[in-house]
Amino acid sequence: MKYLNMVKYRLFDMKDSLIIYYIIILTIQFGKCIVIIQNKDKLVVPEVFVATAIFLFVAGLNSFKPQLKFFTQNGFSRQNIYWSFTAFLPITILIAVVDYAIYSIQLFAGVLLTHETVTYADYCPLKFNGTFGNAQAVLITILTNALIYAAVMSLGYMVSAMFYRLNKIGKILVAVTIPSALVFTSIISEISGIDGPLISFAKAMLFGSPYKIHYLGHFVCVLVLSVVLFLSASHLLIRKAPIKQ
Amino acid sequence: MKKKTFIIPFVCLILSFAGILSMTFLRTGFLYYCCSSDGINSVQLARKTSKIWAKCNPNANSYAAVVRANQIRYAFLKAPGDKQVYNKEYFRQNAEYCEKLLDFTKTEMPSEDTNLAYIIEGSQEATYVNEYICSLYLSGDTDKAISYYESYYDNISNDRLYTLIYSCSDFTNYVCTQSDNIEDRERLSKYAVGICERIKADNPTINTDNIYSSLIEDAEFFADADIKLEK
Repeated sequence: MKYLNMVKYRLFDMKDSLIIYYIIILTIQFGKCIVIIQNKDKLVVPEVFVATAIFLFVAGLNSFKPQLKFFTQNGFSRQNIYWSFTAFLPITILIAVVDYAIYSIQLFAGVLLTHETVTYADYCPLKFNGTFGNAQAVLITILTNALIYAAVMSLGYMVSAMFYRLNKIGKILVAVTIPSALVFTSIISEISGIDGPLISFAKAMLFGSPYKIHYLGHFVCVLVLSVVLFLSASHLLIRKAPIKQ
Repeated sequence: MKKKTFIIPFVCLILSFAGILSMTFLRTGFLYYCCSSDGINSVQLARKTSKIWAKCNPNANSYAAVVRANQIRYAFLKAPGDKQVYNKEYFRQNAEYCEKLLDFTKTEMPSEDTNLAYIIEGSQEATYVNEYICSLYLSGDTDKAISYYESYYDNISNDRLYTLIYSCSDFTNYVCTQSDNIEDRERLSKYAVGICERIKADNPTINTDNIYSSLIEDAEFFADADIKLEK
């Protein structure tokens, strides 16, 4: 009951921002449809999935500090707070279903507006190798997206917990070095036209190949392990987190 | 109780991190970067990692091992960050390495279909097929290039030379877009023209005019503006 109430609170807390997010997304997509009609453009399928992943990363960032203060003031332990976040993560399945519904409507609207044919690949935005039936592929796409969402949300949560625990110098170091390293690597990669060893290794870690998603099984396993990794790290960081004013 | 709350997440953290790393190493043959820097060692390494992988995945077929072995080949030829010089030596080495890979697969997986097409296809990149054919062709083994092409594409009939030109053209463009080295681009443009000349010499009756001019256009587009290619 205790966890249920905590999860309900988290849901309630996120509800408004989710509604606003989807209103913005639908408005943008509606605008795109008008542009398609006016310009008689080619069928363009907008990617809501990337936008949702970014949104959920930010949601993960915001799921730590306010909840920690609120729940501890109401007598919940840090352990409870951590497990309530873990129990809240399956919400990403629902979000993935909603995203897929929006995506399918866009696809259908695009076909009506442009009279273009839709290929099988259009129904499955994740391009992986395998011989799945259509329904199976849709289900796999939804579940994989849900896993991606869960991974980015727990990453956000971990980053937020890490920043909460770090001192001032640590915060500055992390906030400056990681983004600069990422920007520097991508600039080098862009200039040279070759992925450096770091980028190649990161891609290989995630996709099982330094080039693209070749192995869905590997990708899914890495996502599951990443969720476990981020949540475990969060658990360790929350364990003795002081309540700061 | 306090110890327990620390140990479980810590163990999970270590195990998940180790899991991701080991999966990456086993899947991609990234061990290559730690252990070897030449083709023969890479083949030996492919053999070792195949065996480890087969132990970890008893139900898996050898196709995946081939995929990984081929990725090691790719790592060998195009190690990230290396400036690859696309000269005749590169093509010779590439063709030789593909041959080694074929031998390796035949020895390790005699029951499987060891047609080279499957090995190259194992990488799931059409570019590799083109790359291998061109490597054979540019290193002077015309017959082998064509016979490989025939084994890969079933119904090429009389158009096989057209298709071969297209393959080389695709590959040339691919390399040109990948390479920021002007010398490489110049060299490749000359190769592209060289391919056409050789194909014409091999088969004077074939009408390669359209393909020839488009190939030259592509080559000029990607090459430095100073280089002038004549039909």
